Amino acid sequence: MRSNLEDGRTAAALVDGAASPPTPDTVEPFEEFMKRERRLVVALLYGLTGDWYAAEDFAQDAFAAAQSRWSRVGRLDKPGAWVRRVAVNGQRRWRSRRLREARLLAQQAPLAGDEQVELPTEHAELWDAIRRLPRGQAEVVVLRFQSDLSEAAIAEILEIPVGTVKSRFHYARKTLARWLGDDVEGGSR
Amino acid sequence: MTIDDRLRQAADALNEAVARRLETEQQPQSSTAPPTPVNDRAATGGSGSKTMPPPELGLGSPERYAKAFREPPETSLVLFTDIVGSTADGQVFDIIEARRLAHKGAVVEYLGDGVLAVSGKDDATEAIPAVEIPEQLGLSQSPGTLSRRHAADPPSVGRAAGDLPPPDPTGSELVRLLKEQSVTNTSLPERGVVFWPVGTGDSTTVVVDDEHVLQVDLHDMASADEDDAVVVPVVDRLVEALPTRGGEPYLAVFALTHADADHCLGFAELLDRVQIGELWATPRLWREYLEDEVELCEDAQAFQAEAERRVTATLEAVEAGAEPASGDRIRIIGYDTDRDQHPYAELPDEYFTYPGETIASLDGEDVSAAFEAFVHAPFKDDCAAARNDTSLAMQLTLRDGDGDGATGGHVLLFGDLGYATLRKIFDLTAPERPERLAWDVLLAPHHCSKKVMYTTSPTGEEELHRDLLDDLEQHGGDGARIVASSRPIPASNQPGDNPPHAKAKARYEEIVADPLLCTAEYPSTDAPRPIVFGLVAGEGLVLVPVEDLEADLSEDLAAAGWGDRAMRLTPRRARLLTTLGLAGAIGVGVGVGLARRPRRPRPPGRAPAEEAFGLGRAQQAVQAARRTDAAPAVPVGFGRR
Repeated sequence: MRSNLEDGRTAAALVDGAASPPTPDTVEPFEEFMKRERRLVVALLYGLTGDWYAAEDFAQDAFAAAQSRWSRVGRLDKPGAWVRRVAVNGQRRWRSRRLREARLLAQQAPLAGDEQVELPTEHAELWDAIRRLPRGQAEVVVLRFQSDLSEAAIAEILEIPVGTVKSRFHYARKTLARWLGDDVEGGSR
Repeated sequence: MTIDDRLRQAADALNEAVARRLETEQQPQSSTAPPTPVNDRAATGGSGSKTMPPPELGLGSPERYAKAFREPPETSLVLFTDIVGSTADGQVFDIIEARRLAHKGAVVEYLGDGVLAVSGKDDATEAIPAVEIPEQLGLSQSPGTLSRRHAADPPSVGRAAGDLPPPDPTGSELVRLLKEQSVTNTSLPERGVVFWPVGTGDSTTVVVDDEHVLQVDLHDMASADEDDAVVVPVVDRLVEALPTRGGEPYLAVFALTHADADHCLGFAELLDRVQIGELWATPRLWREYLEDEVELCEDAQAFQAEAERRVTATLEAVEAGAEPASGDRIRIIGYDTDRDQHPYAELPDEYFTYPGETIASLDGEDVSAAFEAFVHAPFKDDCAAARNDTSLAMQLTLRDGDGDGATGGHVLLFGDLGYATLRKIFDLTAPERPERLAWDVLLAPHHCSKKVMYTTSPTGEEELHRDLLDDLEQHGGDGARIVASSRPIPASNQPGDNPPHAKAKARYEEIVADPLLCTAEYPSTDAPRPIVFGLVAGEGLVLVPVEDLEADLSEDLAAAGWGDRAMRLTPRRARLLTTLGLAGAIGVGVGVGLARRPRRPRPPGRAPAEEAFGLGRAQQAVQAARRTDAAPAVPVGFGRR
């Protein structure tokens, strides 16, 4: 299963606008857009941050930004990409601030309690490793696998060339495989 | 299992777990409507606000902060406010601001609707009585707890005092740090880096401690004007300020990135007037000496002559079973394919450093506790390239302390490298050793040239390489600053007028929060002063305001209530960096040392203690970290469900 969408469409299709892109005359109601996309955007942010409240906050910020501009954003080919761009930018600021806080507080330990999502323990090491990657590589990996996006779609969200997406993806998988003792096979999907 | 398989499985599990959690959180709500983002501006606009869930606002991660405040502070007090609906009514901030001003407190940080404030009062609730806020708002609320998350449904106001867990012997780390900074910040840092106003050229001085100073490049115009820039006679200033050994000014290391005049002008004079312990040289000059029609300025020739003398002296010392003396030392950085044609190739390995290696000694003395240079370039493959592309490129790390409590700061110096070589540096280092690209201060390569991020195609089309800007942004620290060592940067450039270039400045300012600092413009083009970054405990490399450099420390500290402690905490060692920083532009008439100077009038209403020291500094630092000095522009709540 690649997504939890009720209507069976994949996240990639929605973000890429391949499934029923709205025409300028038929703007999808914001509430429906948010209902469909929210969990995926929260999951994207949780994958990047490992902090439930940060993930919810930045998802909320992104959707609030979309809502206040919905007359324009709703007419975009890919409003899902727009929201993800805002969300990823938000967590970038949070990430650098959090590193600073961690230095100040000398609290490098993972957050505990209800700030976490219950994930299978066998994936904990992987998520930890992803979050230790350089920021740009982590973003590419999470967008690729969690959001199931093409390199072109990732390039659009992160506003970087497709070639940079490819190189970051390559280095990220190589680094993760080395850290985790896995093989790098199968290439990009 | 391949890494891709693991990533797919983990991603699916994540999506499912997040969906489960969101569904669980929505279950207790009576409404089946999808959660709506809390946008208080939209809500107060009236449209649909009645149907929105109440804005649930809170601090980003109260638990994280709570851990830091388990021990009731003695002199610095902290207050959290966590006010439901606060952003729907900006009046709350007005009330807090009025109380803060009345009690001379300092807002350390805004977090959504939360405010973290510090005051010298003994009682937080006296300093900023958050409990009065609902009353002033006309709400019937009672004091709540630290966070909305712990409060019942009715709107609440939280305050930290009294609601915190019992003291933890290991807790209160942030308070301790704030206190320490309140004191240590009053002393200017002993370790740091100075960028001199020398027109379009580089002169960077790194103060490691009161014994060890590293000079990277030199551009001593020895005159008042270059183009439209006022410049500083750097050699004069160094002679006055450097530590002495044997009665002579002593510079531990002089490093030359490459032999263009705007990087070595004045070297002959420096060599004549200052005892230079060690030279760092790239192989490039030896190659150029074998080539015809290569023009080298007199100072480049002087550098090469001195480098060759040191190679000979070192070889003689090694042959005698000894180490070269200070003054004879040399380090060759980089590899050239023609090395066998030159005597330096006979040097033992320890006198060579290659890209990917670090240097932690200056003039043969171990300074690893405080300093490290990681060499990025020149690359062997570029040894025959244009001279700019063979520039020495380094990440300099300054450290204070060790272990968990250490503070570090990174400076990236890339000489005159352009896009292609910089791209190579990031491609080679980012995947395996991203920490070696970290920076808090970046000297804009090639004097703010646009060739760092723009290239021109054979057909004349200009291409922006945002990838490099992304990489720079990615590795920049919080509050990172970019310095352009150049004449004033024009508002726009004519074709061929580069560097400095306005487009480069604009691109740089897109990746950092604070404006680019140009050596010829700081703080003004009429009277530029050295740009000084000092390593401050708990903060890192921070820009030292000109006012701080000039201030009579004891006067301000006494006014701030630090009295005798402050005097004890003004280390002699702080004076070197201060002295360099005070070695101002000609025409300004600034003496060397901490001479008394007329004080610049303070803005009305600002307490001396806040302006440059102590709590005010902490506030400035956090504001710089958050890249804003006000509440978020869009006060969307940190909603919880």
